[in-house]
Amino acid sequence: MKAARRGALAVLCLSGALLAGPSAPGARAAESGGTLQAANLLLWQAGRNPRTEASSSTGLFNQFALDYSQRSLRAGLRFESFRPSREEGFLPARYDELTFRFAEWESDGLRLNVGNGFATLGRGLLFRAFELPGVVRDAVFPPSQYVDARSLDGVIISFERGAVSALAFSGEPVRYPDVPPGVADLPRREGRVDGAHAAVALHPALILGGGYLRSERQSPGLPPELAEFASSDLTLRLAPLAPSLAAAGLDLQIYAEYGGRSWDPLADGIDTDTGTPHALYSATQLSYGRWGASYETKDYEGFALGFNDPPNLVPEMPQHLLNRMSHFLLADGEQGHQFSVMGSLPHELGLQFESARAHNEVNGLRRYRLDALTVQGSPLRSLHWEVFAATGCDEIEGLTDHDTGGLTVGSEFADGLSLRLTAEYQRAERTTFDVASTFANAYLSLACERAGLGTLALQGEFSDDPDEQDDPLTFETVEAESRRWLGLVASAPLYRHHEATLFIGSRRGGTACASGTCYLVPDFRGVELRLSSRF
Amino acid sequence: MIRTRPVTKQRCCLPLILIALGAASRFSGIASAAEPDLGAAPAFTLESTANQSVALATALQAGPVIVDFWATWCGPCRQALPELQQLFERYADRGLTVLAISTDEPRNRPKIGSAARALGLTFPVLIDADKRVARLYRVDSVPMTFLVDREGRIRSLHRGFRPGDIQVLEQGLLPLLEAATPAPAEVPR
Repeated sequence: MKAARRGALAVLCLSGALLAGPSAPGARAAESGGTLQAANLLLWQAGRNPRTEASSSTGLFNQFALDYSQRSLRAGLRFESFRPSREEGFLPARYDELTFRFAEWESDGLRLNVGNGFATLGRGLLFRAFELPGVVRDAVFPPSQYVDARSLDGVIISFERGAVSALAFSGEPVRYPDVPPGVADLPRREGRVDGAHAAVALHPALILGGGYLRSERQSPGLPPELAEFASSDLTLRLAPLAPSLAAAGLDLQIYAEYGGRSWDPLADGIDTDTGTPHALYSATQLSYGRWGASYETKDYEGFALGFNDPPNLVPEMPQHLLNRMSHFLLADGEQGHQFSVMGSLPHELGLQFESARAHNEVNGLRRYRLDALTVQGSPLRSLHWEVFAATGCDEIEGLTDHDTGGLTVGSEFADGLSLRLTAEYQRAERTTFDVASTFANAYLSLACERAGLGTLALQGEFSDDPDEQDDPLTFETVEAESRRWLGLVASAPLYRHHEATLFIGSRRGGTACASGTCYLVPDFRGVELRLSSRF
Repeated sequence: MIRTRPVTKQRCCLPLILIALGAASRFSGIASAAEPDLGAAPAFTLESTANQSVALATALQAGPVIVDFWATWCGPCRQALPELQQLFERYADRGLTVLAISTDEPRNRPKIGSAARALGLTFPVLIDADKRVARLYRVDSVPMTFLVDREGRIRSLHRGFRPGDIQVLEQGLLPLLEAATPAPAEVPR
């Protein structure tokens, strides 16, 4: 324990020295012309998850990243550590680990990456290695924190020249992204994948591609589990075919991809039968002037592979109550579509409409629906507003119905000072064990911002959701009161190289979505400091 | 056995002290003692929504470049981009180029062009589908905005978007424009 405290303090002191030190010259230009860059992300918490922890503790997460580049060469590493003030059970939560290291060479359209890297086959139907930059995941068991980087550990080579592009890779994928690093009994990586994709532009308006993936999974005591997958994709563009329409502002692009297990494109064709593992995705994008629309479809069956990540076609709404009520894709059996329209109206009005439908048949028929309209305006140069209204359901989450609305008003004053008020309200219906109950969620935020200086925001949330009322730590009683969360957030750039965010209070957990990927955020009550630095 | 440790006053105070130290140095004028320079801007070439190949090096031939990382799902990004468009319109003839790099995953690619059109953007909107350029620039949140001078040095970076931030960016941009001589190089959209 003493060692943990010493380690935590050492990291804090190192950060403090960097923070308070003299003006850093930025990237260090080596005599040989190379560039060295460093970045650090520190997250310190004192508090608890009120749903799982009876008493408070402290935790310190730190990620230090170093990058060196010289001409066509790059190399880098990331070192992560987590220091909790207490450790639970038999799984150690504290760790010090080199979570990412790579060397990359790039020249004339050819790129070779050795070590940790990222790659996507097509739109991710067969394979996708990626990360959520800046997102520090909270694991509940064991309590731990880590940056969510689902990299491939191996070799990636890509080539692009003229009408031809190609990608090939081999390595170990992250199959269990919810497992934090440093837990020996629960590995994050398992098995091996080898894959390739090639595409050729037969015409500026037509691109054809094909992908292949071989997966080998080795479980202790069992023979290797081998699987093969293949895909084909097609891209159509209107602009090269009709330059006059493009010049008039009209554009149309269509993308379609089909992937199958043990699939022979010529012999099997496009098979979307329920009993055939497959993934079919299409996207159509139409734009004219300052208006754009997209329509996407999905048909996934038996395609939750552990290392792929097909498009989920769930609108990613920035509004707080909607973002925390998103939908996890179940690629083992889900069909649906998403329609989006975005455009500008006279008088500086902006409009966005999202509509999505899906049904899932992995464990009985369950539906997902969302229709959301957002309108923004700036009637005066110093006044901005946004209103939204949404209705939907997500039976996978037990939500049979919800109606949500909200308003944001922002005003700017002299000297870069501005205020922003956000109010959101949601009425929802949840069915638990065939018992339906109606409840409400509300969110209120008041933020004061000063350009170049920082933000101070007060955030409050209310809910009488029956799933939220009972305190699981009190086994003998079932609480029925509504719950409230109140938090204060202050963020500011510090001394050019740092950005600090301080949170004090309580915040509600739930599903958070960023960049098309959703993950669970636990409840938190206490103090949190986040410090991002770069040198 | 679960051992608990109360939160000590010393631990609570330490991060606050660090902030105070940073804030003190910020306002003590140390930051302005050295010429703002956050290192060399990593070179990149990306495809735009108009299917054109756009290189930072080409844009720098004309003058300073604002590199803005954004995403379609990011509310503050959608607030910032129209203001960057206004800035671009004001100073494009003095050599300013704005490169808006979308960090959207391939799954969101159909929306990038729509969003750019709806926001009325006329500068190049680039697609960083595998986030390779975002990693080069150590982007850990969006929006994140870099001001790069014509020598390819990062002169400022800013995370997030608050009303008035563009005016702060403009203050940093103006001296660079005065030193710049627009070159005939044209950046494809």
